Amino acid sequence: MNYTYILGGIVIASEFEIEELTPSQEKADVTLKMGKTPENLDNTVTKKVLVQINANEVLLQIPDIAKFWIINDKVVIIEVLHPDKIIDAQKYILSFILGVLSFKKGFYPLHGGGVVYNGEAYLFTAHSGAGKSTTIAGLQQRGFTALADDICNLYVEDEKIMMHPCFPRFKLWEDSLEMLNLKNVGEYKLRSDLQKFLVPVLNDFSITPVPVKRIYLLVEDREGKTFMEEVKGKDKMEILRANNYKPWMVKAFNILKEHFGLMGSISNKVEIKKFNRPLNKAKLNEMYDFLIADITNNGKS
Amino acid sequence: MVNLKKFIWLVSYPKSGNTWVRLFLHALQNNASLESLNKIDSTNGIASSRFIADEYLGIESGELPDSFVQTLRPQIFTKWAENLAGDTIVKVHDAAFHHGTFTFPKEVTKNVILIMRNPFDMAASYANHMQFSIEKAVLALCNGNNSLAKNNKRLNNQLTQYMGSWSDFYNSWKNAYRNDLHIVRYEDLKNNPIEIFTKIVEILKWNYSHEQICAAIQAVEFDKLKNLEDKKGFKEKPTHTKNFFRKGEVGNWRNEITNEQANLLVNRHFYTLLELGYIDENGKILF
Repeated sequence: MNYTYILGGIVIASEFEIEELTPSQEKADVTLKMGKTPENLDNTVTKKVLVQINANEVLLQIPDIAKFWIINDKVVIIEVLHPDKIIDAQKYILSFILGVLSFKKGFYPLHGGGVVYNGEAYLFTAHSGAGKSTTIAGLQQRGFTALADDICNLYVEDEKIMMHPCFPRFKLWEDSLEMLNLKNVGEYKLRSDLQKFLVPVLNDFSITPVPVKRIYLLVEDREGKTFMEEVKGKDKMEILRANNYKPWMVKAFNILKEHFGLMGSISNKVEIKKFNRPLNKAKLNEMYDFLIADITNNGKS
Repeated sequence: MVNLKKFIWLVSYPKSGNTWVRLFLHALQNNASLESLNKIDSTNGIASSRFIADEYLGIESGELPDSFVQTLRPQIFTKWAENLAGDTIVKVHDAAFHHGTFTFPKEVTKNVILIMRNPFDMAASYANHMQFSIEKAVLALCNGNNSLAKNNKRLNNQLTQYMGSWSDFYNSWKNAYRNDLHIVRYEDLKNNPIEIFTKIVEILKWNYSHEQICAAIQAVEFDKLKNLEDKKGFKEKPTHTKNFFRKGEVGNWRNEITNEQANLLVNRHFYTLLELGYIDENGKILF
């Protein structure tokens, strides 16, 4: 294999270069290759419109772009459907394929990203489009080290909840690029019909696993107020259940017991807060000040 | 063969009374009690929900070009139907077709209730909803490419809904479903609520008494809904709009749009207006 990378704690050997990823010298967990893929899988346990899953294989079919066949969690075969679509195809490695491999490796893949403060991770989760990337990119500009933008792989080590950083890119919309003065830093479009970009994290991207201190659920406050709410008890489990990378995969991969065990550990050991704030550009600085105060004053915003 | 005919599509152009009907159905199922607008559970949401699309595609729809997602929507509805225990009412603002794709397959459709409202009254309400001028609203109602939630600068929580003009929208559903289509006029709901809401309950084959239907109609009187919105808000209100519920009156267009704008709507939609009884054969507006 020509290239080896580390991505969310998973070491990947690849036939082709993936410029978004961080190089690694460790032994590969998974191999990426180009090749032919099947039309259908036998004995499927889960069938979505674009995804088929059986006991040992996962097949993702993206019309006109590429097909991805994951075999025994060890090999990913990619069939690009048009020569112009190689770069587009690679973007699915950073999302869906990473998500599958994360579940299979026993991680809890939180849908979100985070930053480091005083050696501990502060993570941000929410549904897509809720402002996770803008929050993290803005915190990085205010001196925090970025850890991940889309998927945070959490696991237990020495009774602590740890996370593996992901890959050094932010996914940002054009207005966020402008607000954060990140235009012309090497960004390129995530999709040709969207003003959304993959932006390189220019410095301070950590690749070392970090203990997790707190998870913030980002919530839009439509009345324009900014405030924190501490989450307790079973509500923590519900937030964790709803905000893993793909909740349906837990059942599809038959990992309910292991996954809920890990969620229970995270729920016991990690603080969770709802961060309610308006989605209002004019109040962005106020939002960052409030959040930074909560992080640096140990939860007292 | 498993019967997947589970969807009751509650179809309308925006600001035509769809939410009012959904709130009525909710009140009917809850002993005419309507404590908050935010607990509508008589429907399982809107057909354009990105959450639903993501769930049944298997990957996030935001990772695919919108044109792909539109072609996959019939398959999304089929997968959704496979996972439903029973009949499900779903709000729809899309036209029945998009670029030759029949978006709402007959194989998963139990009923279609199409709510139409005269475009003269709709114009100001639609302008308020979209936060643009009435002039722009009138042009949008005449625009064959009119759509909702189309945005390449933000990931909307709804997929793009291609509606076409007000007539295109009506004709698409009429052509797609012909005799299986139940058409309800907003004006009839306002003027004869007991008769028309009872008809909707009959279409759904729900078993409620005349008294229960009347009580539910009273619970969703316009002033009550407006009051509830003022007190407790409404999560379906667009962020930058002051109120979801505005006036809801029939014939108020005379105070809100110009004669030129009314004439433009008559010219553009003449045969649909005539067919629905909104104008006479001379083009005179009847509401």
